[in-house]
Amino acid sequence: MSIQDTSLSVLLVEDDENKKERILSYYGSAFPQDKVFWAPALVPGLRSAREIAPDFIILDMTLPNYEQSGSNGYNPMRPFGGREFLRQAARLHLNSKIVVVTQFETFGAAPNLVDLDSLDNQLRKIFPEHYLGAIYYHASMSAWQKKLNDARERC
Amino acid sequence: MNSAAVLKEVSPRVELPGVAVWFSKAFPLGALGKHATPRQPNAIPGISVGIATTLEREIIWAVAILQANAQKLRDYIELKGRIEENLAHGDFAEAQRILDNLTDNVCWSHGCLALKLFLISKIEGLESQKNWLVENILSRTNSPAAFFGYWLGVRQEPETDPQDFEANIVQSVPNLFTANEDNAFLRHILMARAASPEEEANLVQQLQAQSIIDMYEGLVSQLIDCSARHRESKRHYLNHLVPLMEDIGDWRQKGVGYLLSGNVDPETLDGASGWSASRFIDRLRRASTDPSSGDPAAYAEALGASIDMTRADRENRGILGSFAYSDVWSDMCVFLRATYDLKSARTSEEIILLNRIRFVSDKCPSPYVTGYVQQAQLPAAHHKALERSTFEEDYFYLARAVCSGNYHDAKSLLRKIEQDQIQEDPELLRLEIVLALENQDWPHLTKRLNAATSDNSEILHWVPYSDISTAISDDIIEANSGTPELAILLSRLAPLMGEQVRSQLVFAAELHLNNLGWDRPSEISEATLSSTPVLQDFVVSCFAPETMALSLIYLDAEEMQEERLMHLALVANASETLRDRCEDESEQIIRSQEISKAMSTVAESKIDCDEVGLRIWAKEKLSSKYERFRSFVDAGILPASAEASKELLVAVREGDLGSKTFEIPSNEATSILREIINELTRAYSLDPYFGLNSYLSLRIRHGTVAGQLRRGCAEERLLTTADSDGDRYDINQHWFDILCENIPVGVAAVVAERLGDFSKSLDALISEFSDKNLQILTDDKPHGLVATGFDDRILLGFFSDVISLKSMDDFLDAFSDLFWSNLEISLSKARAFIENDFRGAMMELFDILETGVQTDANASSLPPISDAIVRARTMTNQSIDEVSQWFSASKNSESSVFSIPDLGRISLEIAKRLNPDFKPIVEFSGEESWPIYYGLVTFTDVFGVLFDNVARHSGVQEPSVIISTDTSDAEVIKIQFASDCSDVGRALAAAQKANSKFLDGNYSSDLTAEGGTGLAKLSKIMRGSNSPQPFYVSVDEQKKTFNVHLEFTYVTLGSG
Repeated sequence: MSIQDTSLSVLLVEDDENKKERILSYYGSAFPQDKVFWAPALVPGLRSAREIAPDFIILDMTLPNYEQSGSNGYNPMRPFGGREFLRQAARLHLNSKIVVVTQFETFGAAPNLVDLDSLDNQLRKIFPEHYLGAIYYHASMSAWQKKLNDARERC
Repeated sequence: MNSAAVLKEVSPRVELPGVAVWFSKAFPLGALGKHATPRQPNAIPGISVGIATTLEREIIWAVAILQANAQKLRDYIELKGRIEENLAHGDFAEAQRILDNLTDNVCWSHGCLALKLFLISKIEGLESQKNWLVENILSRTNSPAAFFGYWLGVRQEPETDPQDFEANIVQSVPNLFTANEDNAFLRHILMARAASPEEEANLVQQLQAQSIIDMYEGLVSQLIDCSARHRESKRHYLNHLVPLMEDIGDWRQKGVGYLLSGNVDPETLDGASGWSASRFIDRLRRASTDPSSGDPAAYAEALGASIDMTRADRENRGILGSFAYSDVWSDMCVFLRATYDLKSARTSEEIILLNRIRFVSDKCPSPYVTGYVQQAQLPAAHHKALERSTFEEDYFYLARAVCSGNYHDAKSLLRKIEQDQIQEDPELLRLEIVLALENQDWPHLTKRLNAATSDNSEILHWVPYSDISTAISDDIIEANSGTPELAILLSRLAPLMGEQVRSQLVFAAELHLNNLGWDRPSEISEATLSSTPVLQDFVVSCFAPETMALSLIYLDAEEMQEERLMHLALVANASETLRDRCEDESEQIIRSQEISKAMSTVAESKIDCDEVGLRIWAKEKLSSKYERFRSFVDAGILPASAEASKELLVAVREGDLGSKTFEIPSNEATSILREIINELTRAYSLDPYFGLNSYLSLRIRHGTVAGQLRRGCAEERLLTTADSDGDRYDINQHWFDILCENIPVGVAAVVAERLGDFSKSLDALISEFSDKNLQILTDDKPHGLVATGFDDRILLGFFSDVISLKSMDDFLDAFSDLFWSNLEISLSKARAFIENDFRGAMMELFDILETGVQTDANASSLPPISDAIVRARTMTNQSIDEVSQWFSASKNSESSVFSIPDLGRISLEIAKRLNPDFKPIVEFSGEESWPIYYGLVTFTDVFGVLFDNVARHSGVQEPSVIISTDTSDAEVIKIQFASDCSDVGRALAAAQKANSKFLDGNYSSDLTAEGGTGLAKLSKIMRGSNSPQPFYVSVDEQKKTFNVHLEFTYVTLGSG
């Protein structure tokens, strides 16, 4: 049986509505057998991951702490939210494989600007058990779809 | 390979000195000869070309040249000693006189130049220093002397922290710390750094093309560094350089001898050979300094900064570090630099090295510094002396324990020393923490550091806090979760280190809490908290909202903040000491929640009318018409059948509205009712004082919508501004500078220009949206989104309903309900337009920009600008959603009570959101807790206009704003809003215009217009005040402030 036929539980952690729709739409058509969950921010994402223990997590790097349309209060946008997700995923001893899908090629602000390649290398070193790699997403390009397929293959 | 290099390579070793001297004399104008004794500062050489041979051959060659100039060097050493003595005592004028003598009679050097710049800035000030530099170097040459002169001038500015200087220069020479043949030389001259073994031969080769002073001091500094490290290459210096040092009377050869042999003579160790920096530090440690003791004042002040606790660490670094570079190769400065570097040392090896350098630079080193000498053997006589002083003995054996890697002994001695200390010693604390870190002694490290920092978190700057943070792994957290110490330490590191430490902290804090049997701090009983002070500290420090936000226990921010409030209340009850802190934080959380809610209320209040004013007007103007209407009704002439309203409702319910005919009868009653409704609708919509349009202007069109829609792009700095005639937009300099670092300048320029075009298109689109769409729908504004007219079927129902209303008040209430419910229907179309049509137009601009940048770069993206565009697009989408939500007719009911400062803060937050570059410094004075009921919207209107006015017209980068409140009058609250203004003449004219317009009441035309009308809108708001002088503007010409005085009567506030 090929991996294409295996059913996975998948969690998408993504706050951007358009990007979420594009990924869900593509993923749903490519892997209809998978059960896909969605969380809109860092903490809800980690809570969902703890609860459903997904096989595969598609993770945005820049995330709000809590759902943005939720209640008022302290809710910072975290440029490296994906890295924090990975840290806590390791602490939770999740068996999930995690791929970062981001529409940014740089993170943080000068003089501490980090590019996607450096961040990718750093995450590979720190989280070898969970982290599959980073995929650059662009709404008008489709290369991310192939890379997402490849990442799923490695789950 | 040049000729000198060939000669160095091929000449027999014994003949090398002779060849070197011959070569420099045979080619006096060659690179190796012409710069040996520069007569002017602009003749000081820079980097030379050449290839190094072996280190030993380079040293032999250099020493031979120096030997040929031995007499000059003898003079130099003598004058250098006198300069150092005067510098140490703070006699800068005398030091300068001797330096001038030195440069006249020996030569210039980089070291002399740096000292000259230091002395001028000390004696005559920084401006004179800069003038001297221009006059003597920068205006005379473009040679490397200009580069070095400039940077040495920067380094010698008063109180410059060397770390800042280093960060500064690394921006200009980004690869300064990568190994290449020039960088070691640059680091040596600019930052007095020793070369690594790989770079050493090259540095010596470079030094041969320098003045004899720089060449000599370069070699001596390498000798000291190699000796302190016990590096093999030291033997070359010992063999060839030390004899020269002896010959010219340089005492440092003696210090190096002691360092390498460990045989320090008793006289030196007894402290009888003169003043000693290391012994002075010992005296400071024992707090036994006497200002009249004859210590060299300037030197003592710099040393004092190494141990001072009264100033911030940064300030102490500046005092110590800047003096440490004044006369860079003097013993005093070498000692001070090592002392300064000890403040950043990260390993025991580094600490040992730096103390050895201090040993060599101190003619009479203390037992502590002596203890770091590798082979330190104490003469028997001195041993007895040591035994007489426990203090000195402890310090000596502490150093010995560090050198021998005996952590256990070092720790015990440190504990013993600590017990006798009257205050924390930065140097010893750093040593203790470095040792604990190297030995992974986490229980000791956390306990010691928590105790040291409990009252003064500044102390964290004394220790390698970044290394500590990095070393704390999840395994270490788990292993140390039995006590709260590690979590408490992390809570102190978090403000310095940010996100990563917050993550470690939340893990450590919750793990310890779980170990104690709780999930949330609020589950701890008050009794347990009362009896366990460390638990109180743990709860307050480790569960701050910034940390709890990373916890998975809380679903959202509200739940998380509620938990914080609960456990803060518990601790406040349990601890007298922490009560104020807990209550202050609780108050802040509640206030931030209120401000957040208030901002939502303000956002929902944009569609508004002054219905109280409209009602007064309607009763005055329409009463007689209404009376006539009532008399027709009483006579049985009805505007509609009494059942029409019900029939209409049934038809609506059955979905059959279209097929039925609902006609308004034509009679006198209908006609007059239509007149009344038309006049009311017109007033509700367009009255310049009370109507919807004046609020649309004040709360939306007057800068607000532009700020809201530009916000995302402004935060990413994508926007530029128009020139004076508005035709051309500037190129985007910010992004041009960033892009130039990675792509060709031509491409960067095209992208920067494209951003100017984008700004122009964006502003034009927003302006068109504001002028055409954000308007009441009328014949003049056919694209207005706010339609206030009524459909006949709606009117029919209303006509039917009003038959039963007897009084005009009831009628006006019913009209108000009709107006707002009808408006809500029309605004749903406005929202749809904004969310679809307008969003589409905005997104098209982003599409054009993105595609254009891709074309310019000939790539699918161009980070980081392409990332900034994506972020700006996302934020703009959110802004459009928010603008859409403004168009809601649901009347909010504000019930919260705010103080004036709170209302000011809310308005400031709104103003900053609309203009991310606006960064005023706002202070409040006077009565701060006076409660304002129903004042939120009124005051945010008032302060909104005032902040907008400051942002547009102050002309000051970070203007100061002082909001003063005076409640001494029983009838009136007086508020003064004073803000900086750069152009007093213009401010006076604006004040006069605003005052006369207010007095004349001549501002109705400004109320619905945009641009320069802020104060007119403010006048309108203040018109409701019953104070005799509700509004006037003055200018304080001396303080250069623009002062707006407002007087609110309670009626004004009560009416909202």
